[in-house]
Amino acid sequence: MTWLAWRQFRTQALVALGLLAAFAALVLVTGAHLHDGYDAVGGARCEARNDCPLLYGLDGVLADLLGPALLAIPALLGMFWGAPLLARELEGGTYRLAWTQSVTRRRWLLTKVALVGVAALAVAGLASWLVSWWFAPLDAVNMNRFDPSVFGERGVVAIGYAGFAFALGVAAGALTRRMLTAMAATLLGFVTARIAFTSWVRPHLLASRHLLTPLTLGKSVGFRESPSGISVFTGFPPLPNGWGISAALVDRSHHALSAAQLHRVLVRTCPTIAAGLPQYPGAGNASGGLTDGDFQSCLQALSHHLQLLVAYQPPSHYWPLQALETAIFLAAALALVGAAAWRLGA
Amino acid sequence: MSVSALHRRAEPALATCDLGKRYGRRWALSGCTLEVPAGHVAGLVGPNGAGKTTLLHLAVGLLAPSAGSIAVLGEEVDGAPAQLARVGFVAQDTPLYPSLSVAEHVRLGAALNPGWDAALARARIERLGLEGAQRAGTLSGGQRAQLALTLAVAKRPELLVLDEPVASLDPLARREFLQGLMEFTAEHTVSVVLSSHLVADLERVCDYAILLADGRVALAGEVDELLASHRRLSGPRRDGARLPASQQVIEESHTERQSTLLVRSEEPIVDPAWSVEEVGLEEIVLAYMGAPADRGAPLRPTDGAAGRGAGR
Repeated sequence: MTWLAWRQFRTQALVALGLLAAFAALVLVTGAHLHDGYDAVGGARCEARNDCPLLYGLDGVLADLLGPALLAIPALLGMFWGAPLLARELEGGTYRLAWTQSVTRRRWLLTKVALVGVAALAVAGLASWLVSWWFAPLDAVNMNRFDPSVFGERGVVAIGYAGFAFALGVAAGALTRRMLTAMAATLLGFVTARIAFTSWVRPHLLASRHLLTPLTLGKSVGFRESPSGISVFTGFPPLPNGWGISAALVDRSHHALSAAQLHRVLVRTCPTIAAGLPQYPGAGNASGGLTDGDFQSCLQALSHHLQLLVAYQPPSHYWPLQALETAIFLAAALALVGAAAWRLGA
Repeated sequence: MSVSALHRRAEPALATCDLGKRYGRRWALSGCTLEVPAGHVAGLVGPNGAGKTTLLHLAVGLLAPSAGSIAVLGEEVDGAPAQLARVGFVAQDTPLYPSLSVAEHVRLGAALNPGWDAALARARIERLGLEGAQRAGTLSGGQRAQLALTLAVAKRPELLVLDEPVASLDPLARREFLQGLMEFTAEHTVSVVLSSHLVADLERVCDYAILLADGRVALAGEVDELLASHRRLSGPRRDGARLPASQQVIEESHTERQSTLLVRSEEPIVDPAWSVEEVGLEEIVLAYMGAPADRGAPLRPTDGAAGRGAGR
């Protein structure tokens, strides 16, 4: 059975091997250049001196392309390896030949899935390792490894995504029995699952930590109109290689304050600002008509009454989260293969 | 007939009991009870959509029954490797992997079947003049069918199931295919179940016939007995109901003066008013296809081995 599975997979495997070799050559050559450039200026320390090498030419293009390439690879594996695995046999009728040899359907399915599936995991793992290595100097400067567009394009999660996309293709093929339909369903299902997981599951996988900081550390602190009057708002404080989940303004006893309560604090502390912003009613950035000095002194005054309470994932949660997400996607992949087997009566 | 004799007391090649298969709300096959004794080349006939492919797919385990039971070579169909090895199958349109060569198909058969007869496969490929390196996708219809048959017979099955193997072949390829099949059955003890919607093909190679109509068995029996027990009667106009009890009318047509009947009778027809003619298998089959479904139980062969009934 292994021979047949390999023989059917051979062409696809060789094509993938060729593409992967070209990808690796490109990444290694340009990556070596990038690494050299950063090594020459002392790596991430260049940030403080503001003399980091500029990305120009091919490096600049690759910086924009390599990450998305890693997003696309699992989807492509699902569409071109997963979806046709069963759909081609079911659509072309060759399953009637395969299933009437002296080999059970279960063994037939598992051999094919194992061979092509493991190859898919290997391709994704290798591609992810190459991309992670290429970006290492930039990531050391940017310190944003939890950024949604970075987290999914580094480390080991791509292996989970590839396993999931592949199994989704297999299951879609078993269900629809049409190759093109299965390919489309795989793409749609994979993109949906990735977006849903990133938005709603990943932030809650591990309990977040809490941090109390002065109000003034928050990024883009400012004032804005709210239904209950002019209020204060803020973003996260700097969290190098951490991931802000939520930020709330709290009073001295650490109670979160509503917009109305914040308005009352503002009335007491900075009456001028609380009185209104007649020049720009409803404007998002409400410093119009007031000088920057008014603005800064108000924030200083406010910081005696308000603090910023932040829920965040610390840098130490990075690898646990990578491992958890990978495991969840791989578990889903196993369930999908099980569903495909059930669908075929194997 | 010597092959037949060897298998007289063997388990039936194929036996079903009240077998049914449903697709959604439509029953492709229902209440199908039949028994094909071992050692026969059995022809399964019926109009398109009668459930032939469904029955054969159930027999080789590609489908699971929705109702009733089905057994091959005395064992319930279970899809276990031991049973798969005993049954050879050539599916409709003889599916092969287009990108695999002839030699690779033979290798596939050898790799997936423990009882593979490499010498038989090689001999057949040679006799057919197939190039080992040629891709299956570039073979002619006749060559494809022959290669598919080679894979099925080199398994050395005890039961060979063929679903419309010659339907898409030209007359020459059709004859060659059936000839190859006959050679195999002559040299090896094997039971064959072969479906076709063309009775003429089956008449040449089959010694047992099963007629499937509307998902039920309308007729089943040894071809010799079917031919011996059916006659066409023609004579002055007469109502079929007034025939002796031993004569069952399958089909009747009347003009103002004359009646023509196709009857089944185990006894010779002695009434001098009739002129009696022998009929071919095709005519018999067509008569049963046109007959109402409740026109009595299918013929029960004298050895009692075959079908009990379409009628409940």
